[in-house]
Amino acid sequence: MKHELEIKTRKGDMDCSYGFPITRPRDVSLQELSKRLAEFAEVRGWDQHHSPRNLLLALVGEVGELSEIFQWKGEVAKGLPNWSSDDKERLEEELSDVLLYLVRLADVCGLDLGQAALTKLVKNAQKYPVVVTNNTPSSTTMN
Amino acid sequence: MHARLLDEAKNKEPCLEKKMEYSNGFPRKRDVSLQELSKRLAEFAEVRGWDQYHSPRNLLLALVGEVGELSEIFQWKGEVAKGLPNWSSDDKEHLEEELSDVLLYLVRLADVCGLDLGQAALTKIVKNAQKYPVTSTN
Repeated sequence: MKHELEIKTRKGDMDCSYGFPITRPRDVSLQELSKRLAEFAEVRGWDQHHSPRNLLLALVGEVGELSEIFQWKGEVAKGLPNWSSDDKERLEEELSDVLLYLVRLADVCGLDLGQAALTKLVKNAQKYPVVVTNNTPSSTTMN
Repeated sequence: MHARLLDEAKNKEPCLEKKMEYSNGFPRKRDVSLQELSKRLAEFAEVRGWDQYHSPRNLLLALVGEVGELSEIFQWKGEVAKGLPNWSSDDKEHLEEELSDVLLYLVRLADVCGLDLGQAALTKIVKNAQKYPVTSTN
């Protein structure tokens, strides 16, 4: 599964070295994605289309595409051991589409998604405290 | 807008204290990485014995459910201005929570699938730039 895209890119689109994106795996921050997406929209004149409801509808559409990948596969083992590299790459793309619209939606709404996520982790920990008898919880969701 | 974090939360789950920087009971604002969220979610599930439930399809269904809850917030509001100028702080906090739920399931799903979501997202930004080049008529 390659992350190399052998193309010239705009300065703001990705860190480049001799026209190639730097492919060293590194930690990626939400603020970095947010800034890149804002520039991406601005230089294309797309800001006018990025209203919260438009972005939400786009996000919902991408979640639909993500769901289609799993739709007829039956249960899927962790790590996707039997998936082809093409299938994994497609999954990466659809997960990314959801993430990018989510980050953009939060930004356009003026919210700090990273901070909100940290706060939600703490709330979840309060809501579901660790107890020795909690191996079969009545709810396994985090909402 | 972020609710005060109770001291007892740190007592119930000691790992929270080392994993979140506190200032007078509030989390300090800082940049948040996808790897950090991924590690916290993995530990969260592990210490509760929830790994058995976190299959890819279960997580995807949970994600879809959270997107539904996110959509409900906007459903009857008509068009919404950027920055949500007319929203109450409670409404904004509710939106932050639902956005976070979607993000957390998405990060967990990618992790359980063995994928590097951050790297994939950077790659997708480059692909999008190729697909939609900047032109003066655009």
